[in-house]
Amino acid sequence: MEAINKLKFFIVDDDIFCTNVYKQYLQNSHFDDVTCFANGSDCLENLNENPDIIFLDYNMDDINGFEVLKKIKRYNPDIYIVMISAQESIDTAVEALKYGAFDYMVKDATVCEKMQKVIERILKIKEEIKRANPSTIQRILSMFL
Amino acid sequence: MIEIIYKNLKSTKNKDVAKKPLIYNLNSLYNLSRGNKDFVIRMIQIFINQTNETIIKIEDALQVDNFEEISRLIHKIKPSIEGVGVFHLLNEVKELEKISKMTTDKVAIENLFNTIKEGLLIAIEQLQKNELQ
Repeated sequence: MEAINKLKFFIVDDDIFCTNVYKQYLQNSHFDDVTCFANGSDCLENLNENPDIIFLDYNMDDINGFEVLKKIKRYNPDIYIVMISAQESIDTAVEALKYGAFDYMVKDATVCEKMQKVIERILKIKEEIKRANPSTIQRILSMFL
Repeated sequence: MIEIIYKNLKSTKNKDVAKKPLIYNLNSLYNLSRGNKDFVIRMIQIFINQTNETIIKIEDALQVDNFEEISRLIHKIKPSIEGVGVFHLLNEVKELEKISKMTTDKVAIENLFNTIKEGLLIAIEQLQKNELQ
């Protein structure tokens, strides 16, 4: 649980109603490190905070979600980006995955449950990666055990 | 005297609002809030502000036949309409988003918008009366 709670989230959406809903849901799930941004530019300027997971709205007024997605991936390909759109579109979903999004979700009444499932999948992957690539300390310790 | 008339008018108006069946449903917001009433109030205020601003913007867009803009604007407030549970308007909202993007039928767009606007204004009135006072 400790590792789970250490996850850092960014929520990027110019709809303040949505950002408040997502933030409240994450906080209910004991994820307390959540930062909201109303546009893509502000998110990009704060990538040095090293978020683990970014929930990114596709349809924003300033920079298109895809542009933000590409720039985040260029900055740090290890950040998990989940694209969110109010419209169900196969094309948008395919494009999002092509540019490196981890998943694509539709903004509807079940969006929070979908967030939870995506986070669980990301945590599993992070755990697998950690197991496959043990830290230097773990490697040294294993030599003596 | 003026104060008495005003109070009377206000109470008549409130009775009218109270008589109408509720057209919103805050169950999901209350569930999400986990008892935090401030959160629910904040979300209602966001919905009211967003909706009022969007109605004005759509009216402006209608005047200059900017139908693409109407589609974009109505698309933006769809999550908050769903969030405060004004479910009976969702089909009309989706339809307006679609027809204002794909057609230039101003009469149909205007009629649909007026239906949605009327419903949203009732929802706002009820929310203000029942949840914010």
